Amino acid sequence: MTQAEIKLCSLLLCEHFGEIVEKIGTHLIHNGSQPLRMIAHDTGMSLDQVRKALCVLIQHNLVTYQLQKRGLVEYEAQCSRVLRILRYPRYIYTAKTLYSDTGELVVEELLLNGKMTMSAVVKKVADRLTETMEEGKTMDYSEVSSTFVRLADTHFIQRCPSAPESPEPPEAPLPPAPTLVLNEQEMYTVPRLNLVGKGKRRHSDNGDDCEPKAKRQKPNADSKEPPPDDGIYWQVNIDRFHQHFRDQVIVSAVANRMDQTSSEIVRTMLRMSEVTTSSNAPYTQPLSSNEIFRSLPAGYNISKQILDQYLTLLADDPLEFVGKSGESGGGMYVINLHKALASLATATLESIVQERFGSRCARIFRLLLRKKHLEQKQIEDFAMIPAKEAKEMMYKMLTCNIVSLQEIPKTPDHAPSRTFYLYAVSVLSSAGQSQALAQLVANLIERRLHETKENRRLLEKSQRVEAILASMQATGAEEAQLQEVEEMITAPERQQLESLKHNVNKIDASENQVDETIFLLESYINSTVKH
Amino acid sequence: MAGRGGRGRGRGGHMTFNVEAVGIGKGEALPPPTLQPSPLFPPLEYKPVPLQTGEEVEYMLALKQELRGAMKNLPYFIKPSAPKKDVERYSDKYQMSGPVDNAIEWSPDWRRLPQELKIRVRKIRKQRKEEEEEAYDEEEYEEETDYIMSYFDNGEDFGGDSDDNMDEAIY
Repeated sequence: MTQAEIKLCSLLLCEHFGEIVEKIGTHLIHNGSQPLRMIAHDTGMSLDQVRKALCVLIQHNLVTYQLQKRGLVEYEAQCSRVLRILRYPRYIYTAKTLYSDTGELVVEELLLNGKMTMSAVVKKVADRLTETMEEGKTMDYSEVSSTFVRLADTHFIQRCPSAPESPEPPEAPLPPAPTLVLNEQEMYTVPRLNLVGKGKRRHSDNGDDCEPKAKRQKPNADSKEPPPDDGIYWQVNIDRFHQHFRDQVIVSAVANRMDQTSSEIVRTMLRMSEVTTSSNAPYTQPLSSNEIFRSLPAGYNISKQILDQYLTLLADDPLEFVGKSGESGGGMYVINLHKALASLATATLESIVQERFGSRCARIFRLLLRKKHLEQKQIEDFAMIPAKEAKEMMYKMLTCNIVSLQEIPKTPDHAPSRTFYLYAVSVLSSAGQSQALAQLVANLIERRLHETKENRRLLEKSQRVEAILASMQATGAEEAQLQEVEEMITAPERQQLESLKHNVNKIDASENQVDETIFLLESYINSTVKH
Repeated sequence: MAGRGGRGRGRGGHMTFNVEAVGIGKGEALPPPTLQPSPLFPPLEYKPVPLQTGEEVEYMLALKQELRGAMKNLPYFIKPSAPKKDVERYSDKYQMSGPVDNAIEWSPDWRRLPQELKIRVRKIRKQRKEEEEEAYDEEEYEEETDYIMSYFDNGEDFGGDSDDNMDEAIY
């Protein structure tokens, strides 16, 4: 964990869970795993505050605990998981594209609450959907549960490790910390629930027939007996989302490089291997062209012959996204996931260099990628850039960790005059750019906080005015009165608010976009590290 | 040139290496030493390209801002207890009282959490002797009740360090 990443973690925690949680979280990231009392002592916060913060962090899967010897419980922050908060909007958006509004809200609720039981999610989502529907219409629980089941079937959500059943003799002392067990077989099995009901409006004033009755009964039932799926908690399966993002990126890369049809073929191949290939495998399982042909989406009218031509074309492509692994079954094809990620990461880095250092630096960068190791003099010659300028560029890129420098001494005394200095680009190390990117996001957040802080008074005022307006509209005030209130915000103030909104939007959009780059570089690193 | 070497040559005398190797030619002045940190906002050499636009970007932006707003209103967002005001104001009475310092505003599933995280809520006592309670030190107070509880509870857990765990289940 680099300094920049820790800083980003603490900003994210502060923004989403408040100062207290931020303090505890950052402390744990800094110091590794620690027991409760040590945390309280070191941070100088009251024990109850620490307890509360830890509960929140554990609930959101940001901290795990482990039972040590002698009954001591140690808490450990999951730093990389904290950074994922930045990607929450993307998870929600993906759920929306795949499973429409219901899927969106299911994933959103799970992210907002860390983990929830299925019955709680279904109830909450049905209520929220009902709220947005026309008067008189309601969302049925069964509809939400079916979306929930589909999300679980496709592994986008999964069960949390469950707490053990309470020990047989209830008098037996409980262990200081429960040991959570993950049942791999049941990870995506949805409990059989008979959820009957409809979403309710918060201010439902249509007090006709059975509605109020059900309402009065429900809370009673809730408080008396636990829900049928009590203790079975669900969480968002981040890795599955990442796998989906990765597939999307590969498909769109193919679409850009070749055409829509070939990207559709690759999409089909990826979809077929979703279940058979683990998310960090370097290759997908080999698929025969016959299999691919059968699985092409209906309505995609291409003949087997054309498909074979496309597959040959894809396999011949120098980027090697698709590889041929055998001749049986009309030709066996795999998708080289690692290679695809490597190409994409390289292209990303190339464009970073181009936009930050100019096209001539990008030329040197590409040169180094092709020739691996080069001396200063060779770079100048091959890139056809005057020596002085080339040196300046190299040093600039060296300080930014874009290129690396290796010394190879001819004699053991490391005398500079008898040493080779070789420049190289290692995509992997420059993928360590993620540090710079973390810094970038941290800067963006800080700037956003600064902007809002500068305009706090104005923001508060506009909120107040809006509240007054809303209450006046509700009571049916006259147009002239409304206008009068509206004019409480002067024209220049309005202008300032507009520009603030514009700035904040821009910063937020940048944060989302930077995270996309972070994702790409990280997936590449992960795909390399594991093999 | 190579014969004379870079070392100990006149002006570049302090250098232990050939200055020409780093791109400073013969007779050229060395760059002045840097005595201050680099500027906080260095000028941009290349203008950044515009951000992506489109429906997806807009929607994700809205989601991000909504999420941030929603998180602030959830019970997981622990607000620090309000600082003591300088003077007691009449309007204070009508303000919504902030969260009590030691009460958790959501209901965690304690089966999934370590015992020691369980926060003791002291409601009954609070009403009875509100003023005295504040004088208590947190730890002392807990231990005192621990004793009473374990004494008057079942005798099975008497003694040993197991009663340390028991008291939490009672509350």
